[in-house]
Amino acid sequence: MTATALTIAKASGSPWWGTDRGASDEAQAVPLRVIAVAGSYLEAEYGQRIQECRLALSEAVEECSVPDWDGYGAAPADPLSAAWAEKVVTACPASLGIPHFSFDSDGEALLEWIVARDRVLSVSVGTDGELRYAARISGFKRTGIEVFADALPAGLAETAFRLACR
Amino acid sequence: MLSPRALLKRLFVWLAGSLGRKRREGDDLPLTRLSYSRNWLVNVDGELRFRPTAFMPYRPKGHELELSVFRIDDLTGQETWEHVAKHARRPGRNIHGRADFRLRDIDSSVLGLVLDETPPRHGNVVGWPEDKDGQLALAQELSEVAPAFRPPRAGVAA
Repeated sequence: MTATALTIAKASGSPWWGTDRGASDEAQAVPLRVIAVAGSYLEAEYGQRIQECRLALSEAVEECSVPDWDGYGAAPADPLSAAWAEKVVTACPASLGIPHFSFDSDGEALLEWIVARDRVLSVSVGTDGELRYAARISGFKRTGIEVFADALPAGLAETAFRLACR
Repeated sequence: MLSPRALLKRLFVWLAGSLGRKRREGDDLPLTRLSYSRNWLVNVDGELRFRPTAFMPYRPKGHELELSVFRIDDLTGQETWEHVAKHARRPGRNIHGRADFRLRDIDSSVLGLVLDETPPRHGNVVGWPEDKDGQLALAQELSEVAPAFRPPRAGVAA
């Protein structure tokens, strides 16, 4: 492999990671290797985040699994809602971080991201995947009801993006 | 001289205001919400708070949505802890914190207070919207305005 094969592009339209103009077979394979390494790194990071989310969720389920767990007569955590909550968190942007998992008095999962006093997103997850949410983000307020279907619904995705951007 | 139409409009605004104020009786009363869960407390920007989830209402059978609170007017911090330790017992649970607020501190005008004095000083915040997203928005407001405190000991024994 030659060093010149990885010359950083200079506003020429070439990709930022360099060029694939190297002549040898090894040089030709460099971009693929870079992508493979980056991919495995991201996969590991994603996997770790998912593991942390699952652990936090299972701890919340355990705490809230008995009737009246909150001292105010709450219903026990609903496993169906918890399952939906896991799917929702998996679909959230990683930059949002791991939410705090809790359960509402009717047993539905509640996800909370508290970035600062005036930067909060709360999402209630219904047993049928319906998401009801409220956000306060530096003066911006939004509430909404949307249905989760393998990806974050548009309104919630935009709100999550706002929260993640500082 | 106001036209009959303008007079009617003023009357309507006054009536609406009066009705609204009725709903907000207890606006100025200092209230406290108790936490029996350690996980409801969180440090935000260096200050202790309750998470919004701690302010979500619940619906007892046959009742409207309500949030259980105690009025703490004329009580010092220490007296408040003594009062709730005596009157807010839950079998096998500790009180892990309290969050103090007044209804006038939040923007919304829909919430009101109904005091039942059972146990003494107890009441419920009522007037919650039926939609959970609306409830979450109000819970977030309360979480933002209500400073939280830990009990003098590690937890007030139940």
